[in-house]
Amino acid sequence: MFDVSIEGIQTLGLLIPALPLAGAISCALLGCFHFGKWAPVAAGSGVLGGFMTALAVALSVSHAHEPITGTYGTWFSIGNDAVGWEFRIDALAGAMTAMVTFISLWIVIFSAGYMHDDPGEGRYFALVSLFVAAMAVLILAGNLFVLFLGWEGVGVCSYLLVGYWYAKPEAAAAARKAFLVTRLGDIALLGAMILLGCHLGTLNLAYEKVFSSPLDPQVVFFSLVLLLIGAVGKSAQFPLHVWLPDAMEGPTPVSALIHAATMVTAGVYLLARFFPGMTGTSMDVPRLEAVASVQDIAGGLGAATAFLAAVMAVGQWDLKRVLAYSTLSQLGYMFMALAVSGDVRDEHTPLEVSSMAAFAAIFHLLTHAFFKALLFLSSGSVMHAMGHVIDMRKFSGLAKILPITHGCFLIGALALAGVPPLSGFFSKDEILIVLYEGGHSDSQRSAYFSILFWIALFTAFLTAYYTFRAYFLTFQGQLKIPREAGDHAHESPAVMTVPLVVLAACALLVGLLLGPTGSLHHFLEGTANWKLHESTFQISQPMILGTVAALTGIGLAWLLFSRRDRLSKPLGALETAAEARLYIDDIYLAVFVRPLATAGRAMGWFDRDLFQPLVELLATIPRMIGGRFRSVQNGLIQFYALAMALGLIVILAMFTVAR
Amino acid sequence: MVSPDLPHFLAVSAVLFSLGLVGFIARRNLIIMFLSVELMVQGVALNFVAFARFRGNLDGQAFVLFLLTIAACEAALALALILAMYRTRSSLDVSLWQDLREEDLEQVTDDEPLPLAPATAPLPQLPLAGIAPAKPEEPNRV
Repeated sequence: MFDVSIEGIQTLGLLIPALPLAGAISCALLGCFHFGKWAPVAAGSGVLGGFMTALAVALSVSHAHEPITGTYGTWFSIGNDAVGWEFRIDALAGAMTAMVTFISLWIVIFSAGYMHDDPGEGRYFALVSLFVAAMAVLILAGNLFVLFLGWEGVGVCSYLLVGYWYAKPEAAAAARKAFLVTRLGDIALLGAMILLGCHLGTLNLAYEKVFSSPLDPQVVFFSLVLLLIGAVGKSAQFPLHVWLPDAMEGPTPVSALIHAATMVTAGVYLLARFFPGMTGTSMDVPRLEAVASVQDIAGGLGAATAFLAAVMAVGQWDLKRVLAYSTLSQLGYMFMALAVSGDVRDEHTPLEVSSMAAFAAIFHLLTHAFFKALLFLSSGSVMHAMGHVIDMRKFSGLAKILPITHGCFLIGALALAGVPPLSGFFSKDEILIVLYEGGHSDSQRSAYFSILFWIALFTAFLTAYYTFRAYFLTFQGQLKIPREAGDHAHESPAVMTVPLVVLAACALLVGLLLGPTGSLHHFLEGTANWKLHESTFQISQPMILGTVAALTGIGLAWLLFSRRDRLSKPLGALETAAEARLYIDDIYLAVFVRPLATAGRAMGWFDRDLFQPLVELLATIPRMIGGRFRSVQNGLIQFYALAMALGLIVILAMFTVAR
Repeated sequence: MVSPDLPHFLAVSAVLFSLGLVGFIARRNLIIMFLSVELMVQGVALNFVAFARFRGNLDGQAFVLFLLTIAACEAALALALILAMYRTRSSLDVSLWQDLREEDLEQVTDDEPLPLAPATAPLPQLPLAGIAPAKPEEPNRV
């Protein structure tokens, strides 16, 4: 679309993270010199610059079928091996960066209103900008080292932002939990890098090299498993999902930025790069089998997360936590989509099947980013009006006083539930179709994919149910306002409602514009290592089933919550268990945290009460010997002089005798 | 007349050094102790000169030049310190300064301490440079 030279694209690609980084630095400086109220302007212009360049890059790479590699110098070198600052710019990276910077831009604008008059404004906006820069580095990275830099960068920014109100013990604990749990995944990612580096015999872990090198199927399997664990940590999938709901302690725009649109999608992005890439074009059956078995694991974890998180969301009373669990659930969807693998017997090549699966995951990632950011920001607007109360039992009927927020939340909720023709419908549908087709292929795994399909369908029903449960509890019924809101409960200022409206428009239209028109499909065809086969939009069985599931869920929520006793638990014990997060956190506490704490206390006892006295016993010996001679130091100059003179005489005498 | 030989010089310098050492150890008056130290230094200096003379090179002489310079500096410092110490305790008795002993030791006290200096009027304080000294009140003129 744009005609920009390769050098031009390389320069623009560098600017995508550089401009938000410059914004971050200026925000930090402004904050230091007490000009914090100007920080939103600096952050906004940095992110806006990032968005403009990302858009230009996305539009100009859309037709280049070769990925554009930009090398901006050497990062470090060991021996003859050098790791470069490598970016790889292709259609997928362009689409992702454009989405991330666009949503971040509106979140920064929303934050300008939400964080108004907060004493730490400079710090907040500096961290948000830095986060955007790190995310851009993660997406644009051309080798695993640069990816790791971005990966850790978003991790540390997320830690700092979740713990932004560090004086609040829950926020500090949540930040620590998020950091430590994602760290488990990060170690696995590092392990994958080490494994690949050892087997390739080089530090040059550019994607292209990893994908095209001949590797032992076992190495392929284990490196992908490690990458999957990394992705599971970052994207908060089943065994490591516990950090995300707690991370809601951060400011709400941070939840929208990190836990909806950007950081948690990093894992999906990584796998969308590596599953088709590792499949490769060659028909090396053991290698295909290795990749496919990792994909099976991903699908299982995704299905478990999608279903369990949806169940947990059903019992939550905290509006933001409902959204957090729905994020987990939707990320589980993306993992399920990524699980679909091909077989050499299929109509399409394995690469084509994996690419279509990755495409479905990325499509859902993009639309999900819009409507989930919208939902989080709407809940932020509710919190703003309700004096930072977010418990849905304490307010209701807010549609009357928050009309704009209500409208935007409703659009977001419909999109999340997957009601046609909103964006969530098309992307969720794409995932259902991929799973459905996987279930009806000749592949050995078709039965497995069918199970995944039915889980996805049931989760779609649950999604619609809990989303509209939250909607009815918050916005419908009798008007009720908590005491904390005071008498000034009112709609948020324009600086907060405009981003809501913009994101609502996107949530309405993005799916329609990108999905059935085939424009995203066409755009992402240029992605390196992907091979998408033609697909046309048509009404199909999974689509109808998905819509029916969504409408049933909404209907059930309407039946249960629009009129009856609002605080009842219509599903009984299930809801009690769901409210307690299916006891998974308690199990972790009992199985990992408590034993570790006990072991720590035992170690402490050993150290303090066993080794310490032993060491002190050793120390008493020199102290006793020293004590004998301490009286020599009596402070009398003449005593010292005499001692010196006598010492001299003794030495001289010794010399004389020795001769 | 016998011209003095090296051992004569060495004997004199040894006597000087020993007198200084004994003086330093036996006397308690800070000024006398300081003078004893000077005596020891001079004994050493005489040693240097004597060796320079009888070995026929100037190395020892050069050392003595340095020694004299340092002795001059040392005298200036030591006398200033002694003055300051005298001002704080009104006495030149070295045994009054035992503060650097081990914490748990008793202070050693003398049976016959040096007599304290008679109380004198406080020394005049000089004003800061550049400020005119306050004039004494003029007697009333009638």
